[in-house]
Amino acid sequence: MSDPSSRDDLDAWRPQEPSAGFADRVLVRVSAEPPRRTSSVRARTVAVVAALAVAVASAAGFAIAPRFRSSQGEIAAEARTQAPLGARIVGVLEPGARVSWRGDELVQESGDVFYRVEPGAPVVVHTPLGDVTVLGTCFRVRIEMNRGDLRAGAVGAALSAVAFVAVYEGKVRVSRADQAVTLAPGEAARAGKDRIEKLAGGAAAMDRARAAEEAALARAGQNAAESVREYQKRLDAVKEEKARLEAELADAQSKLDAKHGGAPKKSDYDLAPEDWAKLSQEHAVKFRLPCTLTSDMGEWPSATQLESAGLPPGDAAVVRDAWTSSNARVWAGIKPLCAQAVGSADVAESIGPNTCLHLIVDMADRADHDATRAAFGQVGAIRSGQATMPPNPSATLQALMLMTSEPALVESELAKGLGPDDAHRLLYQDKGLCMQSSSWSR
Amino acid sequence: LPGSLVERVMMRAPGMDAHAQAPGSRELDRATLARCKLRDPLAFRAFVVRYERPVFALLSRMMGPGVDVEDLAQETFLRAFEALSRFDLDGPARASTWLLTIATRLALDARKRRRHETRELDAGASVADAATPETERHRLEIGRAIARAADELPDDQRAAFVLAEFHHLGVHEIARVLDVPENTAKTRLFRAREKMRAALASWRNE
Repeated sequence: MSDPSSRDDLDAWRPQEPSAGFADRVLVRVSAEPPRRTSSVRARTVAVVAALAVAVASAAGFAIAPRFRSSQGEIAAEARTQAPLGARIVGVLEPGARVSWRGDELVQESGDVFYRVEPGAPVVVHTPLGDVTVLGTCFRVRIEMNRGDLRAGAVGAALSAVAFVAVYEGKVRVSRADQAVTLAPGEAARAGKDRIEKLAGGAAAMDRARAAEEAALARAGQNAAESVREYQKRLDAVKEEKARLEAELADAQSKLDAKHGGAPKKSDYDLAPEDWAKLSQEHAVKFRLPCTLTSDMGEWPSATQLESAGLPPGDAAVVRDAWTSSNARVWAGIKPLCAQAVGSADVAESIGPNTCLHLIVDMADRADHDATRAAFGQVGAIRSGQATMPPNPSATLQALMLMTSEPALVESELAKGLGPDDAHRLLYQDKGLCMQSSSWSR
Repeated sequence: LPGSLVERVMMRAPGMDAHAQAPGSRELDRATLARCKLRDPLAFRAFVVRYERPVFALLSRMMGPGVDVEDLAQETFLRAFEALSRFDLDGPARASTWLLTIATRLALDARKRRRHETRELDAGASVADAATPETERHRLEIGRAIARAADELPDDQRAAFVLAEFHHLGVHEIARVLDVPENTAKTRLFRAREKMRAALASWRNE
């Protein structure tokens, strides 16, 4: 079928697409149904392989639930455990986490759980502090009991517990009685006994807020130095929020200028060395690169999408190839860093590049906030020519350098097929093709 | 309307698509397939995600859209899971062709068990890209015409046509999928294309 119009005609006979969560439904059946036509030798082999897999996973400090769960069940993690929690949800449970589920409703009684939810009907996670309602997304819920409750036992513990929710992708609504907040990617919330509030600083703030909770419990014994550190953390969070609002303001201003016929403003993501130098001082990074192409996007980009980006239909292959190459480059760089961060290549594979990037940075930030903040500053310094790459860069620095080098690589590849002007415009114009823009600071 | 398609279906010689690769039909990598053979659940999930679209495409074009398709697709992957340990990574069959063989045989069995209820095929329901209404209507009509014409084919010819046109299998592979001699597969594909041509020409002249 070399003639494209003929292919186009045949493609008018549209097939049925797999519905959301199909793969997980298959896995549930694989788990639930006994092997068919299995010889005793094969059965023994399977048992040995399964036992080995669990043993290897445990030795690596990461357990993989040996059987797939059905539409209802319960799991309590003693080690870090990845498990399907129903048909459309995969959870990574930290030690001490306990979750039960029935269909699309889960109850998280305790602990720290990272969730990935396939798109579909809403999923609700009930916690002692409120409900978390989500569509397809990645998010984390951590429930903290105070130490007095732990000593006293479970009864009444929820009254003084605190739940934290951090969102990596999609949107999440945290609600209780007459209170509710909606969280976007990068945002986090704290649900205490009195109220639900957003945390400035997103997922990283979850960890800082935890430190603040502990600090509050022990404030009688705190010295002045600890207080200063705590105020510094709060100040960081405020600065981050300020940077985010400034970016939003600049974006709104740019749109207003365009609407009123003003000269096209340079994109905030089209960064010169002096811009990087400024970002370095603010411990911030920015990058804009192709979105991750997924199988449900079909033959992307369509003629209509190209037209809206100011390109002729014949440029589809150039654009698609550049996006595909970029996706592969990013994933090749991020995946090993992610596998190292979460302790499992399989988990890295299952959570994908976007969430992986957030996890790499968040986990590093949790381990050493000052070093992570320094890495953010280093990126701008290196990009502006004020510094060079250190000999043993941290995972955060490697990840951020990788992401911030990608726009130039994509632009260069696009320029071969589209010419330099169109390549640059496509990468930085507001109404472009599928792009993702990120602006982070620490 | 479908003149160009009629002409091309009429002119296409059997076997000319031999070993053609469907656009975007990248095979799962060898390491993941090896893990599938060991019944690694995460690897098998990747296997399902990689191949769910071609399996749904084949089954829906063999059976018509509906609940049966999801059931048969699940059954296809369950059987694949059972049989993967016997799949030869160094053998002549690609994993996709091997899986489509399972799906095709399940579809043929299902069609034998019951004559497929005729449905109004919503062939263009999700035409993408905000095409103009006229273009959308045009594609809808073509899609329905092809689906109706394919529905008139005997099951084995329909399978040969779908495998060749939508999954880019060559005659040699179709013969293996249908478990028939190569010449038989060639004849079935030829007859399927002839009948499709005639049916579509007739529709064009209505």
